[in-house]
Amino acid sequence: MSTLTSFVGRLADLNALRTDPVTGLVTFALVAPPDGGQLVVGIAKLFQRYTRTLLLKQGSMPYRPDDGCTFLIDADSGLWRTTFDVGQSFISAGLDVYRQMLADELDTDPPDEMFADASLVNIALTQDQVGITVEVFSQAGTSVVGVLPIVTLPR
Amino acid sequence: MSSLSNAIPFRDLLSLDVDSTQSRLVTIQTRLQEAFPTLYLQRGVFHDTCEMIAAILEEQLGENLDDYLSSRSLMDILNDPTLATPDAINAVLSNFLLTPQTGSAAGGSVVIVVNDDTTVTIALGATFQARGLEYTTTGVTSARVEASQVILPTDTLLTPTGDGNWQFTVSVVCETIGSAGMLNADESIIPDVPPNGYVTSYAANDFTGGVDPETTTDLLARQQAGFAPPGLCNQGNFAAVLRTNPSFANVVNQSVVGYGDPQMLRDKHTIFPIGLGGRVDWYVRTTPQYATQVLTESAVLVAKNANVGTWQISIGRDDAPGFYEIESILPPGSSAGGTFPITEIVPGFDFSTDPWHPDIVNPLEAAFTRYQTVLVQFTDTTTDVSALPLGATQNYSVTVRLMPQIDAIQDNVAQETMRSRAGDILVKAPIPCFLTISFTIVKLPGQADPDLTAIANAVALAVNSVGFTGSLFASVITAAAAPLLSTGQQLQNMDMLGRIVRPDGSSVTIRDPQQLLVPETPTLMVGANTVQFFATPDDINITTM
Repeated sequence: MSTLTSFVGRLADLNALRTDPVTGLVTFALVAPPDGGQLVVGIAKLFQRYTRTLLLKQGSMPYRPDDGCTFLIDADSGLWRTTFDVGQSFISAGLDVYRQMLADELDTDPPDEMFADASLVNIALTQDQVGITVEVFSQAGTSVVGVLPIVTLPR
Repeated sequence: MSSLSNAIPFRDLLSLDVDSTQSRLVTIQTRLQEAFPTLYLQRGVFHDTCEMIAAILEEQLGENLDDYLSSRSLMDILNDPTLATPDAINAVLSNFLLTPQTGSAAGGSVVIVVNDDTTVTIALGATFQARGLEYTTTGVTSARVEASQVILPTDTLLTPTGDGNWQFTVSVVCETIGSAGMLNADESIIPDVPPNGYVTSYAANDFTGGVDPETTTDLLARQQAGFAPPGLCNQGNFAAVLRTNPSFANVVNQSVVGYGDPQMLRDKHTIFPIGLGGRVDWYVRTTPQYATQVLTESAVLVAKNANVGTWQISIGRDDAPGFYEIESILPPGSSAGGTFPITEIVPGFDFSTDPWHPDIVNPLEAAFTRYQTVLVQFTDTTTDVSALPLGATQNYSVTVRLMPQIDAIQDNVAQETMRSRAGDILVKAPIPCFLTISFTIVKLPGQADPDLTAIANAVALAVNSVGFTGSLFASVITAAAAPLLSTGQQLQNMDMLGRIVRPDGSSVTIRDPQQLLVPETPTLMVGANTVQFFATPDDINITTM
C-alpha cells in the first residue's frame, strides 16, 4: 500500500493493473470500484511498465511499430503447445523487453523504478488460457510477483 | 469543420506521416510534463491512452488543414488533381469563371422492321436496350400504311424494305448521360415490348450528342488553356473560340495551319510562288470518333450497258458537310452488305448564296470543308435498266463517314460579327488516318482471357485522343491495354495499319509495328498538323494465346 510520501519526488503513472492480494492474479482496469482510478509509483509502476512491454504485440501500436515484443505473437500463432513452448517464447522475447525497458529509463529515476531483470516463475497451461507468474526485479533489489492471465483461444 | 470536411476527404488515422506524428507526440509530452510535472508521461498509461491519441488526432487535423489549404491552391491542384474533392476544385476554378460541363445524353433514330403492313404505334417513353443501357422514345410514333393516313406530326409511313418486310423509325434518347450511349449505325437496339410483327431493330445512323460529364482533370486542362482569350489569332486563341461556345466546347483536338506552314496552299494564289499569308486552315476534330450518316439520294440513270445501268448522284454541301468518303451505296432498306461499285467521283465546291466565303480556288482546297460537293457515278448491279430511259431517277441509300459540326463551326466563324478581318478562315475536318490495329495477348498457362471488349474500347479511346503529332506509337496502345491485363500477361505481335484518305480522294497506306509516321506531303496538305488517327473498337483485333 502506497502512502503519500511514496509519491514525493517521483513521477506517477495511472494505475492500469489491479493485483488480487491473495492469488496474485493481475487484471487490467483503469477504474475498479470503489476507487475512481489510482496513481502508481515505485516498483508497481515498474511492473506495469514491464507488463505493458511484454504483452504488447510488436507492430500493433500505430506509429510505435518497434514497441512491444513477440511474446503474444507466438501465442496467437498457435506455437504454445506445452509449458516449454511458453518458456521459449518468454526467453526469446526477453531481449526486446530488456532493451526497451532500459531505453525508457533515465539515470535520475528512482532505483525501484529501474529494471534489473525478470524471471518466469510458473506456467499454468489450460485449454483456453495460460497463466504465467512473473517476478520483476528492480535496481533497488526489490521485486514484485504477478500472475498474468493470457487467453489463447481465438477471439 | 463542415466546410473543411466537404472540401477534402479526411485522412485515415492509421496512414498519417510517421515522423510528423512522432514529433507531435514529443511536443505534447513536453507541454504536458511542464503542466503536470509529477506525472509519468514517458511510457505508460498516460502515454498510450492520452498522449498518443492526442498526437494522432492533432496530426490528422494538421494534415487535413494542409490538404484544405492545398485544395485552394491552383498550383497544388495542378500538381495533384486527386488532392481535393471535385467540389473544392470547382470552387477554385469558379474564380476563373469556369464550371464543369454536365454532359449530355446520346440520341438518334431507330429503324424498326415489322413483317406486317398494319398500323404500329410506339408509345412515348417506350424503352429499348442496347449496350446494357436503356433508351426511351422521345414521342409517340404511329407508323401508318398509307401516305394519306399520315396526318399528325407523330405519324410516319411504313416503307417496304425490299425483302417483304416493312420499316419505320422512332427517335430515342439514352437514359444515361455520356458517350457510352453513342450507338453506331446498324447497331442492334431491342425494344423491351416488341410491337406486333416485330422482326428486328437497329440504329438508323450513328447516335449523336452523347457527351461525358467533364472530369476534374478535363476541367483543369481547360483552365490551363483558358487564359487565352477567344479570338481568331493563334492556336490558343482559336481553341478558346471553341471552348467559350457551348455548342463546340467538347471539341477533341484542333490544329491551326497558316502563314509559313508547308500544308498551307491557299495563301499562294497570286502569281508569286510564295505564301503571302492571310489564310488559315483550321482542322477541327469535334468528336473522338467519326460519324456514319446514311443519306437518301436521288440518282439519275446516265448510261446503260445492256441491262446494267450507271447512275449518278450529287452530294451537296449541306447533305453531309465535309464528309470523308462513301462507305456504301445500296438500295434503300437493303440489308445486303457491300456496296455498288463506284466508277467515278468528281469533287467540286459550292459557295451557294453565302455573303462571304473563304478563298477556295479548286476542289482540293475545298475537301473536307462545308463547301465540298461531289458527283458520284456508280453501277447498280441489281436493277434491270433495259426498260428504263436515260434520265430516269431512283433513290439510293448512301452511307458516308464524316466529322460532325464542321459546317456549324465554319458558319460561326464566317458570320459578319465574328469574321477575322485579317484574313480568311477555312474550317476543315482533319485528314483521316483510319486504323486497323492487331496484337496478341500472351497469357500464363491456365489464365482466363482478359476483358477483350474493354481493352478494345480503351485502345480505341487512346488512339482517338492522340493530338496532331503526326505519329502513333505502339506504346500508346500498350499503355491503354496494360491496366486491363492480369499479372504476367503481355502484348505481342503488334501491327498498326493506317489508311490516310487525302484531300484529292487518293489513299496512302502506312504500316509499322512500333510507330506509324504520317508521310509529309505538303502539296496535298498532308502532314503532322493536319492528320488525325481514327479507330473504332471494331478496328482493334485482339487474339490471345
